[in-house]
Amino acid sequence: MTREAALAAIAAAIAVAGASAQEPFKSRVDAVRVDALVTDRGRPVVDLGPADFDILDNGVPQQVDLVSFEQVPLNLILTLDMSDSVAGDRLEHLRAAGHAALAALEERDQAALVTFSHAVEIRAPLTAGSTAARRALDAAIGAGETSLVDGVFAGMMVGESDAGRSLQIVFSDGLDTASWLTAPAVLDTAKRSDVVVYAVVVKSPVKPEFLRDVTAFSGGRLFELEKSADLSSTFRTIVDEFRHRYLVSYTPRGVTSDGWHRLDVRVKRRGVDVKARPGYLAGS
Amino acid sequence: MISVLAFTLLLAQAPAGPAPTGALSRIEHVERWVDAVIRHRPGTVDAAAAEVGSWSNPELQALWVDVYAVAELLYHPRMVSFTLAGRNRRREAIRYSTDEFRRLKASVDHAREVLGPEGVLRRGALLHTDIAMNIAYVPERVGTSPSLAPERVTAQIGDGRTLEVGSTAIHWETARMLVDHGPRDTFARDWYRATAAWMQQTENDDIDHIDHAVELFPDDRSLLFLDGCMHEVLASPRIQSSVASMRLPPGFLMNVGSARAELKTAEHALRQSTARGGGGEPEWYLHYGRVLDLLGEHDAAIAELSHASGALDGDELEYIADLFLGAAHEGAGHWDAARAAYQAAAERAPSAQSPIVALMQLARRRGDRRGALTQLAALRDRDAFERDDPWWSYAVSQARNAGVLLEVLWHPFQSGAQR
Repeated sequence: MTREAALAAIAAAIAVAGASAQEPFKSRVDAVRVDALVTDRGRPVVDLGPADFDILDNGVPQQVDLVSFEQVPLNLILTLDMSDSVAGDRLEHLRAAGHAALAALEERDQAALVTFSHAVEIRAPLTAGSTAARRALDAAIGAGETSLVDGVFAGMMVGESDAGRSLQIVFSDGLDTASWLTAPAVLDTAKRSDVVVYAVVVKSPVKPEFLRDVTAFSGGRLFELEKSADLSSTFRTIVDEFRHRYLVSYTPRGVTSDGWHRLDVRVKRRGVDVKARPGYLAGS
Repeated sequence: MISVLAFTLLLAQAPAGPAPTGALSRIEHVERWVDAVIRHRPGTVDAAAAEVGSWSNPELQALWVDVYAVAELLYHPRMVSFTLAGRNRRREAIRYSTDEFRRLKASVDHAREVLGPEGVLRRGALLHTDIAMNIAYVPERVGTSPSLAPERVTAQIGDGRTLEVGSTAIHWETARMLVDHGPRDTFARDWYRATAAWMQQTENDDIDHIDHAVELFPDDRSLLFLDGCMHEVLASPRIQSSVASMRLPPGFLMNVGSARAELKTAEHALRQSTARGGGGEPEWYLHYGRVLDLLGEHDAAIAELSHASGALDGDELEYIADLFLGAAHEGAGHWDAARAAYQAAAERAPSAQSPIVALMQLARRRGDRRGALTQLAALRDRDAFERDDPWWSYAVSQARNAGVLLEVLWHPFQSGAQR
């Protein structure tokens, strides 16, 4: 890439970050953003450029326009279960974990807090700094049924309310009892969204299928912990891991505009692992 | 909220349990029971109900066997031997000593003389119904009951999890056995209608109860409706996730199917409730339409929901109909109709959360960023404490008349019209 081209790419990235709320979602795909984690024996690889990436969209090689790393501020959306099943020690551990994640933010980052019992509450909208989210976290108490699916969707939408790079961390016991939205509907949104969802659950006899799927489709990860005392270190790990992800973008060429697009993100370096979302959904 | 799911154990090879213990002998229990049936005022928890309600489950299981003999003797006074099919399906004899049988027969003769055979059965059923509805039992270990008596296994459910599985008092089973010994008449039908509605209203879901009622009254559209609603509930995430987290003792299986299997069962019952001779309550079409939509039959769902819409009993059900119509239209790809239906729901219930997330999701799906963010702002501005979403109580809405049905059931006994 020439210097002029690189400058043009950075300018384009700034324009995306400053997009207004009037812009439509990408029902027609103009540019695709893919968050990718590249690791070598578990350690993040941090020195890659656009030429190091190959992206196949439905099997068709694409021209990578931009790869950014650590330049784009982070939007952290904490989406936390505050239902009956999260009470006592677990609630205290969850609060501490939320504070740990917020403490890992930098000055230019933004934070939001969404909680859900049967009611979904946007307790702190996406704002610069973490003060509002911290206060809201301290005030939140647990009671009621669980609208997990509605809550994850609302958190995803909070992430999409800003054109920046969004990480949603969800904590729940994994069981939905009160949502209006269905899991397939929210998975459909996850396939269209740039928000990366990480989820944390405490192990139970029930498989957290929805959280497994939503994290997989968004390119995030599901953590199943033995005990809630491990929440704080897990939340910190997630923020740290997310900071070491590449934001890769390209303009699709040679593929149809609608439907499911299978993505294959590769790095031209031996022995590295790449984790990115498996595809995206375009059109209605 | 804690709810209860009662169910049958399949493939159960129940071991023989300990003999009943207590201060009273076996026949003394029967004598006290007959006395309680005569004294009890239906619809109350009086001294008679309190006495029988204080008996342990082993005592009640022993009583169940003897009450079965009582019910037989009421109609067949010369009967001298009784058999029962145990849970291993073999018929076994109910054995009495000469003195026990003499006292048993004397009690039955006395009860028949005071109340008549049907009066004993009905009042006995109402006694156990009142106890079942009002007196709580601590669940015990599963699989310790004698093989001739039924075992009632319940799961306590909270927030989508099974909190406890245990064996509880068999008052519903005793009441059911007494009703089933009598004629299949208006009382029996009304008893099943009222008790099934009460179970659904209070989330004491009992799979066998309503399924059995429909077996007895296959043409009763109200019972078919409640049966359909029961299976609709069993298909819900709340029950499905609870069942998935349930740990049963070895050798036991549960008779709750997958979400789709339960929806198919619900669809069958609701189709019958709405199909027989036309007409029927608009609410039946509401549930039928919802189940059809969940099964992916969107166009059929729209037809049924449209039939219900505008004729339902109150704003809350009309709100639910709008919400369901929105989902069915969305499933069918009718975006504008879906949005209109969700907006209608939002206008009917301004403090409800579900239409907001539905509109937000629809806008997001359609690439309407402004519309989605408008709904996000609406959600953010709602005070959670002021939210009242009828969707959250939809699972029990069909049984909101349970109190009226019970009053109708009790009235003849309280007014003296029935002995």
